[in-house]
Amino acid sequence: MLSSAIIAVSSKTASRTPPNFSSLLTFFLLLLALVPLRTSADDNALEDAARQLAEKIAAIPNLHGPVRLEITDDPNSIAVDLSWKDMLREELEKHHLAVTGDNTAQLLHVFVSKTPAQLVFTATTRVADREEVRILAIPRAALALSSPPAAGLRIEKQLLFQSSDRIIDVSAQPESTGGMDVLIAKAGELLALRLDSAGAIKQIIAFPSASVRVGRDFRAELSSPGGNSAAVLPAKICEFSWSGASSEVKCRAAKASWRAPTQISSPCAPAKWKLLSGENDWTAADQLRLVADGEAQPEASAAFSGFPGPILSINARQNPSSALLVTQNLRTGNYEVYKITLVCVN
Amino acid sequence: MRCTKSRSFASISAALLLLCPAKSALAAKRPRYGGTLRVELHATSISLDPRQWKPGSLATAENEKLAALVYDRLISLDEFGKFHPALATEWSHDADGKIWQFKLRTGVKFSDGSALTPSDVLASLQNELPPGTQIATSESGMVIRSTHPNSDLLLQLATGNSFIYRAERKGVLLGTGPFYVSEMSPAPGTESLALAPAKSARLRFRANEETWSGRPFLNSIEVTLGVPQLHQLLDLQLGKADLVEVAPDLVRKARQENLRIWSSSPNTLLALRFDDKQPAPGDARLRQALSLSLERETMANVLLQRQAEPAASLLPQWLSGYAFLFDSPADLQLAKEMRLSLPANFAAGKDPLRMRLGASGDLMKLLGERVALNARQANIMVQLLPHAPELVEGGPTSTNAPSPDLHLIAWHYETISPNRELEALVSQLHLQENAEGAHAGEAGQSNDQPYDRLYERERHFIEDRRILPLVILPEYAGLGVNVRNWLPASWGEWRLADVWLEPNEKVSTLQDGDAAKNPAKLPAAGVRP
Repeated sequence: MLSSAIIAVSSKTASRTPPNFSSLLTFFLLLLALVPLRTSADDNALEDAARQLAEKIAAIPNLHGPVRLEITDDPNSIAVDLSWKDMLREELEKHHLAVTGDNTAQLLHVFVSKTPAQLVFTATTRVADREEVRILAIPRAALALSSPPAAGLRIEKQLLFQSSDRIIDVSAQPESTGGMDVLIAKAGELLALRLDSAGAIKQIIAFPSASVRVGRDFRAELSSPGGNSAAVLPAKICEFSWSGASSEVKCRAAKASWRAPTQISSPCAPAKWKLLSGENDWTAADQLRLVADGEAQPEASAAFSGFPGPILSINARQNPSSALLVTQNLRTGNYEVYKITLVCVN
Repeated sequence: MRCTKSRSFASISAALLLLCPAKSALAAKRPRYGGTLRVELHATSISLDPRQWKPGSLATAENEKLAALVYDRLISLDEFGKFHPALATEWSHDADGKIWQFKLRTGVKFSDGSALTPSDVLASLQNELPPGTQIATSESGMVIRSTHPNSDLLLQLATGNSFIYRAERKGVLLGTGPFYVSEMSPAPGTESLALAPAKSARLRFRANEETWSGRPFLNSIEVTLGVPQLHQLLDLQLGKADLVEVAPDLVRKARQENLRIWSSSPNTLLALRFDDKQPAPGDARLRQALSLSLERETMANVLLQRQAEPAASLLPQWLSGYAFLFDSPADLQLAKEMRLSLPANFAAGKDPLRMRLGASGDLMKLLGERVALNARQANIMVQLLPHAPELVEGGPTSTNAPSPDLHLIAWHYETISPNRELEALVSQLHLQENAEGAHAGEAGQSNDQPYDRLYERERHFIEDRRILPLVILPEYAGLGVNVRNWLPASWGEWRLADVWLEPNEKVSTLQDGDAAKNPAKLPAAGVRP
């Protein structure tokens, strides 16, 4: 069995191989790492847990059913919803253990608890004056991907992409394909990903580890000077091309020119709007504020929208009617990309 | 984000990150590099040598916090249950979970500039792995082999004393972590980095510019040892300290003073351990009677002002996930009945149980007195013996000291591996396993249901009642108003490499209007319920 981290290739070892092979290898390994993110990993892990737990419960001597199933979710745990109860019921019934709503039936109580690395399912039932306990633990990391986007009233947001690797910046593709380019840090290496409109990875460019060192507070922004692709880094600019056969990245010293505050236009008002985030550190969830451009008082926000973590980057450079925003979900630890648009509410 | 003065750093990249961003921040506030974090600790001595640490002791918890500044582990675990590469960049295991391979990060250097090698990892870990586990170097890293499936290995390597270091000739240990020890006052002996107990001992940690994980935001961390906890709180209020420990009995007061207080998951168990060498505890009825007399809810909610939780298990809920299955309600009537069934030589007042406090401090004394009070209500006499640091908790006792029948012990959970913690408790407290419990332990190592077996094993110890859990305490820390990015692990690791400090001028208004100008508001000494 491979851990997910095994997919994180060390940049230092990869740099010994020819660049093209290195990029290809990184591409395939990254695909392996990210493909599960695109599938319903949560469902699979929970389905597996339901199957294994049902097997354990069904093996309890002299437990014949029907049983009344109750599930208690630790308030600190990742919520196990009604669908999981259905999954467990189905699995129990596969083992000929009927589940009923009858209050007089034998109680089968399943508790779900969270530990630092695991989700622990504890099933208890009483069989002939004996308390039977069966416990199943599964890695929490397998369940840490679900985070449905919350609905906004005036700032509408849509979750487009998520990754367990650190997303540094994101940019809409200039070709209006609906796709986006993403800068991520993976195992100390900086990678640029080109995604299509469905979020599938089409191309990966690895930045040379000798030129780019991803630190604790690494800052980088995607840019497109003169139609070329580039990443602006502290005191450096690295240029590359998505279209060429070569995926070579050329870095040179340059004064960092960071993006100005993000402006976004509204479909029903001629004014330009600024998107501003809060001034929290990385421990707190941020609110995105919509402020009329030219408004001297940033407190005079026209709309707010909450995010599940600190807002790390906002970019509307390629498309004035929408912006892309990067946040780290403080509940799951995943980095998430949202598309922000303004919706007129009358 | 406000514009701050840039400071010169050795690292050009770090200095460039100081460049002032535009007033209108694009995103969450970026960290600020620089400054010294002032930490105060109650401990009078610190050892940064993991080889000297005693599992489960409160001193080890303090040592580990500071050692994490200097050393790295192979992997780390985040708050979301995900393991991340640290000194190991990749890992894999065979289908049975008996053979684990770790690939070591290349280019990592110790604070003296020398390169990390697989031999350093081997030397650091070979005495820390559980019995039946062997570690060897491989072409690109390490191989760890176990005689049984080792599903907990990553948990063990990500926490506790699984630090990687290099022992130099004079006993000095080098690390690859975000800081290095730059100053010790008084200077350590030549044998180890352990500081001798001394008044106002200080340690200074400096940022390691070359660390593989990226330079920490702070320039340095200054740790003052031996500061009484009430003084720590005063220093925090007066802005003389940025991070202090807060005793449980001061938490309520500190919160009333609007101080920033952080608490971990409950990570210190206070329990009674019967001494197996004494005749009295051999009687199961006495153990049960004492257990039934203990009002754990009152201890947690009244005595400790809701800053603790009643404990009925050896492993807490957040660590095992199943602790709610255990229950130890007080039943004074039943306790009295059990007491009456005991032999006559345990008649009230004639032959009291002697209870040794296993650690110093008001809290232990307070809890010991409450245990004695509860026991007396069930007609069991308990005599308190003061803490004797030279005696090992639960272990052999000195011939000169009165032999205790009971020890009031404090156990700090060092790792987040429930298997490892239960094993350490059993081993350090010399808990005897009956045949059923031993069978559960062995079966847990060999079959594919380790969690069921872990529970069965713990249940045997609880039902045997040679150890009686009382309460479980979180640890508390007080934070200065200028401390940012405080992202500790819920199980107690401080993670100071990610902390940064807001410039003083920005927060001075908060302090000016608060405790700094109002010493009358400072908490009184000896806060008790």
